[in-house]
Amino acid sequence: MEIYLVAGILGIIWASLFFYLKRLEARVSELENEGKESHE
Amino acid sequence: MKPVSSAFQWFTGIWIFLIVISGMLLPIPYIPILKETARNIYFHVPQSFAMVFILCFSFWNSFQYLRKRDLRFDMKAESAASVGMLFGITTIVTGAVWADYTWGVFWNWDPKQTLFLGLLFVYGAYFVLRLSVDDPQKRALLGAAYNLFAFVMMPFLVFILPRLLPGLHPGAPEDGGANNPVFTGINLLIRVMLYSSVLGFCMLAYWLYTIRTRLLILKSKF
Repeated sequence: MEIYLVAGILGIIWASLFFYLKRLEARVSELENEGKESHE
Repeated sequence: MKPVSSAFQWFTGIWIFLIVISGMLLPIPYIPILKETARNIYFHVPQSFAMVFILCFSFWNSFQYLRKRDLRFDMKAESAASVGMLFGITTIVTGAVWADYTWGVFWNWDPKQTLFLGLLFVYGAYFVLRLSVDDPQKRALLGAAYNLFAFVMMPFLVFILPRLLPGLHPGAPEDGGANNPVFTGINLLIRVMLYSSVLGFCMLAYWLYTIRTRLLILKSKF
């Protein structure tokens, strides 16, 4: 039973990290676009 | 630097999620002493593979910098080295926790543990060296030259010396020498899972490398 709990916890940790990286990726793209626009 | 595609990101996310869940829930053969902790092979070993994989990018970009003297290559080399350090640290931590369960202590100066830590110090010195120089071109030049030497040391510290020195890690001379059980003596399911996990962590390392590089490029513009 414990192994299901560990699997669940690790799954949640990875999912949180993944969505954090997705947000970071989006933020970096946004900053790059802002930089391009101000350059133009 | 081009960002990775959204499909790549989702593929990496789902792939690692499946590795985490199946790594914990699929049956694993009974190995005395290791028991259920053997599942750590799906996390500890792939992280060290991911470190080696991304340090190859660092080496290549430092080499390119020395050829072309373009600071973008230096930024790529630095970001790849920092992602490599991150995976190196997670490898050490997951290894130490595993060692506590199986060898009884977190750290016992096993040659592989110690030499791996030595490699982290070698790369740590790369960042210290960079911090000590203000001029960007000079910093890039010194960093790139040092990085080539650091990379050349890696195979000796990670792959060659630990197989020659007696120790507790699999692959040590008492354990069959160069026949590391990761490549030969383990069951097919573990091997498939292990290589799938290596693929997942290498993709994650590459994704982090692209994000970090783009952040460094942005920082240099403002």
